[in-house]
Amino acid sequence: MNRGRIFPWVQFAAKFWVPWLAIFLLMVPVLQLSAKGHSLKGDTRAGSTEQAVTENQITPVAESAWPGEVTNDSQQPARRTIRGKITDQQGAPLPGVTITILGTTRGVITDNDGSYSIDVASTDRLVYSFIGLESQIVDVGNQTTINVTMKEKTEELEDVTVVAFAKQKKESVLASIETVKPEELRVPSSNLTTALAGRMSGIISYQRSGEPGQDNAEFFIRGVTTFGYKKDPLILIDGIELSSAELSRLHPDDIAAFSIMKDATATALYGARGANGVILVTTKEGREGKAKVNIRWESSMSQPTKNIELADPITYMKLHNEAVRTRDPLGELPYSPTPYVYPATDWQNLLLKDYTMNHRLNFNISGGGTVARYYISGGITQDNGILEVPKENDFNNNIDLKKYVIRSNVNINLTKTTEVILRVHGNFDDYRGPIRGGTETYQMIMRSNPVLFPAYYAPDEANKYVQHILFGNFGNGNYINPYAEMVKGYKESSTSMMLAQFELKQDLKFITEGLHFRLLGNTTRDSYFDVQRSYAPFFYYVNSYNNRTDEYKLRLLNSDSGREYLDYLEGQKEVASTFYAESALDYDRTFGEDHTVSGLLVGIMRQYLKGNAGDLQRSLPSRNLGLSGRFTYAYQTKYFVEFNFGYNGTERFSANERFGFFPSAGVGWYVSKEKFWEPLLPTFSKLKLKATYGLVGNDAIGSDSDRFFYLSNVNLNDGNRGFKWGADGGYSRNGVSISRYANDKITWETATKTNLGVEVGLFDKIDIEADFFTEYRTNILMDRLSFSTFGLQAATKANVGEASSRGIDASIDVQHNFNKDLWLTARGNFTYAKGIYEKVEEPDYSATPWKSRVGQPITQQWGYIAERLFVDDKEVANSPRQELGSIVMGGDLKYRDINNDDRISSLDQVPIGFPTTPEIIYGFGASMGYKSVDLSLFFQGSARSSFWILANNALLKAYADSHWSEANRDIYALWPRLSYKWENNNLVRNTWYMQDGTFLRLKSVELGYSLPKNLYQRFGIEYMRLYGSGTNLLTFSRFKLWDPEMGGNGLGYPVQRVLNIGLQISF
Amino acid sequence: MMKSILKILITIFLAGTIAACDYLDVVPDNVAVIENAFSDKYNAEKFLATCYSYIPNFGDPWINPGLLSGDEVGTELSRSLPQFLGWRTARKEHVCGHPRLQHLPGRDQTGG
Repeated sequence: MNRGRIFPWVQFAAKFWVPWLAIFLLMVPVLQLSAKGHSLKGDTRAGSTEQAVTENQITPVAESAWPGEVTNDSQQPARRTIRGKITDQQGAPLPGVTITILGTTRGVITDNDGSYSIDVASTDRLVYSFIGLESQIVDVGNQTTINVTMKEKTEELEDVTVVAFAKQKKESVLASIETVKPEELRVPSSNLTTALAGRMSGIISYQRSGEPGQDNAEFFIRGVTTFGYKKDPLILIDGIELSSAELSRLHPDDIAAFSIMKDATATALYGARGANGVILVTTKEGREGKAKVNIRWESSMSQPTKNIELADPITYMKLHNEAVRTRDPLGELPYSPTPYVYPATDWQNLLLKDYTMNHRLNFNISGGGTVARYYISGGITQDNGILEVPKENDFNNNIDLKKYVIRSNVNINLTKTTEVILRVHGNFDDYRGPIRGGTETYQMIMRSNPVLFPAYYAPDEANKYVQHILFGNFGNGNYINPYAEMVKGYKESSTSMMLAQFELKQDLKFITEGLHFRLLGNTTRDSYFDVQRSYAPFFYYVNSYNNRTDEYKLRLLNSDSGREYLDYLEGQKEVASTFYAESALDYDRTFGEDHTVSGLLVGIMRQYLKGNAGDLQRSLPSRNLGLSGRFTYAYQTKYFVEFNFGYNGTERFSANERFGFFPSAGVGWYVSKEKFWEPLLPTFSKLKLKATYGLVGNDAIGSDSDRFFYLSNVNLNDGNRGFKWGADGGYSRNGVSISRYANDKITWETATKTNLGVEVGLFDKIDIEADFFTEYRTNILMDRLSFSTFGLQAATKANVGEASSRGIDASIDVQHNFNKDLWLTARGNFTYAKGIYEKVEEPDYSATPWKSRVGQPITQQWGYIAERLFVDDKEVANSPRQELGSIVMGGDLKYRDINNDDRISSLDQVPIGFPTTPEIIYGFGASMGYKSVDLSLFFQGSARSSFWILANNALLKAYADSHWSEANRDIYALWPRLSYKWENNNLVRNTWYMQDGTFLRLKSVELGYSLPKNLYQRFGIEYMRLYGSGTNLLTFSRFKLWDPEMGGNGLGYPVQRVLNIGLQISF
Repeated sequence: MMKSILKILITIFLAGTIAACDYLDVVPDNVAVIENAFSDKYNAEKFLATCYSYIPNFGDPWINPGLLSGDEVGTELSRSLPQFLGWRTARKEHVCGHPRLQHLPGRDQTGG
């Protein structure tokens, strides 16, 4: 065991970096060779257009003040002068374009108005080139005037799909990968995750809260097929694993490609980390050309999609009285019969604004020359909460979240075959808001008593000179006064993430054509801290009131605990660092016409280290190591086969279980490229069938804090487990507590995924992609059943769980240009995913099979079936006994006795409703444009989910209007018999409060107008567009009390409806 | 020459990955494990103390059903005071669907 004493980093350096260093050293001669190869090959490649550009820029031609002939080959026959004008795509003249005769060094450049003239022979070919623009070759022939419009270089071919660790031609991709255009993700929000639902097939997503900074949507790829702790996909931004928080801050303008990887072939390369699917985002890189600036400014008005309607104060008092008397006829009424002596406090009105304004500003600049290209971008967003800032208060307590983002991607061509990319990226958040956070403040507002006390009192005679606000309260001052809670102080937090990345790409074509090498190193640093500053409010209460003089006397309730001056509380601080390195060798070559072969080998290593992990085992680095590969073969671009593997290791498991092999394979057939298909081509322009099968793993099992399953976790000095012996307990020892027993057999979850896909094209306008998938997940870590008689201190765990899922995801794209001015694109997608338990550790439920989780959806809820409300106490006495922890009366919920044992117990709980995670997410929308006006609409829907309205003390108007009372014995009322205390019988999970989570909403609308060019062209501006947009404008749902997307979180910070105006300028 | 460079590259590539298996061995020696409980007399006594620590405290009305569930002694049942589960058992609230007091684990098993 000596080697373990060496500091792990030394080991790491010796074992891992030495080979890499060797590669680097090897690269030096390689680079030199490749540089030589380049200059040698220069002559043979002189015919290529790219070469002509570089060669001619350094000829004396470019320095000639007068454009015209420079060299004169008098031997050439039949020479004449060609004139013309060069313009860009917008029609503006282009000065400085190099025009050369192909195969010679003779040439001219255009002058300021873009015109040129050159002497040529009719057999010559002219090459037009300009930095950043596509070079063109024109045959001279008999023409005398040649006008050329230069087009921008297209960065990459349209039909390329980003796949794991590489790019692949779209036609040859067998894996199920959904790529979405970044424009589709543009919503007037500073949170990208809220745009995912319904935009892509394969994503199940929902947003439960609208609080700035806490409004990340949950998202799962093809639903949830595990009951372990890590259910969400692996998120990779430029190849680096980042969290959903970082994904949420990405600006769509910075995204070059956004794809989600769904099946085994797509994710197997990520080995033990890809089982839940992968989201892969690449950011933009600079393009050759002059600096291009894009600026986007947006200002939006944000308000809750739906405000919750509470009962009015008088009703509140009446019902509160009723709640007491209906349970206890001798109970003391909280309010006297005259309602006039109580204050009416509308907490909602006092503490919430109708709307709030948010601002966003983003810019990016890109450009570069043949050697280096850059893309830099920055953004500032300010999101405010909808909390009212009271005038009486000293500090602004509304939520104010400012996010700053910077990004810089620089590509440098070191040699003709070597490219270096440097990416630096930073996210910085500054937050200021109420101490309890927006959601809790909201809940306090909803639940506070509206009549017991006002928010604050105007000072009475005795308190005239008091400096602090006289907050209202009651009793001992222990009630929650939401106003006091909100204004008493504030919390400031700061989050930062810095990422620096170096990437080297080497074309190894001097070894063999089509071979590339890539090396990537990355480090990410995260930090977070927060600080709270607050005073302790003084609470008052009206002691006496003189109605003749209209004067009141206040009494201070908490003279001992109140405090005028601020106190300070440091919150949590988190620091973490991540290191990641990746090296890849890939090969792609077509032999002859028919055989295309490609291969890829990737080695990765990753380390995550937390600075304040809390205990020794958690403080150890999390590491991953892997070797992955892909081999593909295509015959005539008709038949495709592919094999992938991931060989991955993780530090969590014992040495025997540490590494796993995850293979996958796929086949594809491009049917529409067959000869026999030709007659069908005008209708069915494309038909491709594909099938994949493979294994993927998930090493994030158990919990974040429970990592080294092969080691026991013990506290060898636990005071709680101590004992005292001897006279007067004089002989004492602390005890030993065990929180985990060692188990060296524990290993990762394995997902076996099958995917059958079809791609159909109709009339060259409609694209349909559909996938049918199944997944079977084994080795899910679960607690074994245990009883206290076992004598164990901690639960034992094992890889015993199994789950499966199946579903469909499909998307349809329609694109049609009616004429030059009118175009239409429409897009729809649909995802259905259902994950069920296959094998779980549970007691023998053969007598009560409905209790078993096997065969039930993973987020299925169990509860009682509520038949109706009891008519009266006599019915209660004559029904099965409901022993659920409270005394049952008429008007309480009556449950069905499933097992006929004449009592309602936990054995009567059955699966109720749909799972809490929606099984269906869909979206459809269209964009259309006519001349300079464009309009897009997008609907999103969710179906097959259930949620439960909260059982709590907020008296919604709906409950007040419909509840069982002794006067009105409505046995189908919304709310059962009122109560002033916790009635467990009515609050256990049951079908009475179950709601259908189905909804369809007009998720976004955007209307844009591109301003006429003649307005701004003289200021150097190229493009200007003004637009108005909105999100969550309309919602259609059967549930009316609050926004259905929030589910059971209805009294939290509401999901927001946003109206937005924006301006986009490029120059 | 080129072929050999390729071979070297691939060899190093594979070797680099495989040789790095120890990279995952992040746990240093001497982390606290159960074996440390028996390393010397003092620690072994601690383990013995652990075993003794599970003896129910018969003087505790929270734990010993004999004290309160016999309906011989009562306490106030108000919301503001801690509710002795033994006393609730005496009031026939210890029912099949909601067991209040279980002797082995000591406390309320349903969280109610």
